Amino acid sequence: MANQLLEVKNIDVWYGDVQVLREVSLQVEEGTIVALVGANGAGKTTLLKTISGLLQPRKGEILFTGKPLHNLKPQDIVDRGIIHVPEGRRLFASLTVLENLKLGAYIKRARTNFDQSLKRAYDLFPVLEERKNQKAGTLSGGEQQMLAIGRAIMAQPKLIMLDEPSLGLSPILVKTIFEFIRTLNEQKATILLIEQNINQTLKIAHQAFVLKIGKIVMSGRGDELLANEEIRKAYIGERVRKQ
Amino acid sequence: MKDKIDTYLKKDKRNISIIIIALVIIVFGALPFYSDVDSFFAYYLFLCLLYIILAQGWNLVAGYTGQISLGTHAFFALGAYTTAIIWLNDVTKTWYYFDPLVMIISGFVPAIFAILIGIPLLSRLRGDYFSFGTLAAAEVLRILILRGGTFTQGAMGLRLPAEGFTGMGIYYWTALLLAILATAAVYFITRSRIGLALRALSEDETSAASHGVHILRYKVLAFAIGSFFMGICGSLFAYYLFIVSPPAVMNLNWMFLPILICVLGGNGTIFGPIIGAFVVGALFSYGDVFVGQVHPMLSGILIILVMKFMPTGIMGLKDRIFARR
Repeated sequence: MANQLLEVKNIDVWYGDVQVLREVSLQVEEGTIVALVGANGAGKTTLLKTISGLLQPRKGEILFTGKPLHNLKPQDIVDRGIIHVPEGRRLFASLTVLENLKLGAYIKRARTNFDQSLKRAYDLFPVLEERKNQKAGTLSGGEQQMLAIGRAIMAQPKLIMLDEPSLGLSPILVKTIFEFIRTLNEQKATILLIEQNINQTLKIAHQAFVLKIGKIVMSGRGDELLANEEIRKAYIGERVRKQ
Repeated sequence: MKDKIDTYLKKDKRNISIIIIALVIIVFGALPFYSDVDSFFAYYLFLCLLYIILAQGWNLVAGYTGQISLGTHAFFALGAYTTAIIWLNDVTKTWYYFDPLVMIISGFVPAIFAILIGIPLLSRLRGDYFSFGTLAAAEVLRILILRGGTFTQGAMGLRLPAEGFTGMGIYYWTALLLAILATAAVYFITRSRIGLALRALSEDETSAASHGVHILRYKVLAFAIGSFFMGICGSLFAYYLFIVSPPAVMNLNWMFLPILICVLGGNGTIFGPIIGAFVVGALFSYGDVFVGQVHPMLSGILIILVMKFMPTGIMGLKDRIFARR
């Protein structure tokens, strides 16, 4: 088997008395795009929050480059090379675009290569350079998403986790964002992606996991799942033609 | 080409600001030579400068870091008591009256106190709870001082030897110097990496943490630096009053006025606390003279009006006027 960057092994996660994830296991291979799909409330965001250290699993373990991760604090996990772009982007609205990017490179490891990362972010999203002194809150939705991804790149992560990057964007922008994700991946970034837009997501994903009420119910190559009748019926809402 | 012109203009603008700031400092520094230092006006200016020091300390914690502390009077009092206790017990064997060493120690003691209460308060409590926690810590300190026996002289307070007093000049200049230092400290901190982290965490703690900002460390750091200035300010006030007692230095006004000053002037801005201090100082000093005991009521009404119509303070008005054009 190829090089596993991230391995989630049988984790249980609870919010107080409510169990959200049940024995969830998932693997992310280095250099791939892995999609995590499923309906609202399936536990997708919870899983990302657990990986990035905002929540602790009650059971199971998470390995990153073969070393355990689940006992570390969020800032140490960033330091190890995982960056989480949360749902709704969570930009610092009153800070400028450049200041947001600087925060992306806050950890020591990223700071040393700041200029190089900044150039990379600007090359990927030229609009960010044009608006570097503008406050992040004044950007359009699409630009904010670009800034959120740009800010993630600044940390020089080994793994980027994107939570619903297409949320609230117009269809054209959604397409653009997916293209950016693919470009990012071609530049050797490993990506773990949560999306509602299952059709587009499975097209670019190398590997996908389907989460249903806290459990992984299916996994496989993106195109395999895309061809799967059950998936098409349940999540894409397409009527399956009788043959 | 346009970029070049822009940089020139920017440089010019910066030079002009530096010249204006230098002129203002010179005018303020020279004021005692032209006006009677022992006049009421000079007292008013001295008080405003004290307010600036306190308000900048609060501004760093609340305006830039988003933590509303209600313990300013405790740090102020701790600074004053540190000065008095060192002096009366002959601890440092220096000259005590306006002794830089004693003043600096009087800043460090509240800073250490801030770290000690800041670590539990800022790691567990958020928002309102942090405010109540600081207020409670201040009340605990008040009781400790009242029950301090011969060490603090309880409600009587500590009396300092006043033989060294020569006039208001040195008070005014020291206050001016400290106000400049406090403002400069806030300015440079907020423009540094630390300031970036502070402003980020004040906006979204979770997001800041997930970018590797050590939330607790920075919050405590800002709290300690703010308390350091509050303590030095208390030390200066001890030299001024020659009596350090709970009613004098633990007066709730020392907590309440800096907040009003920051909110009125513009919280989270460099010049807001300065403008606010002169406005609030004028309202309270002259309110006392002209409308006597009614002025706390008028001030209360003023606060409500400011909150309602100018939530961003006087500095915010500038943006609003320019935005309308």
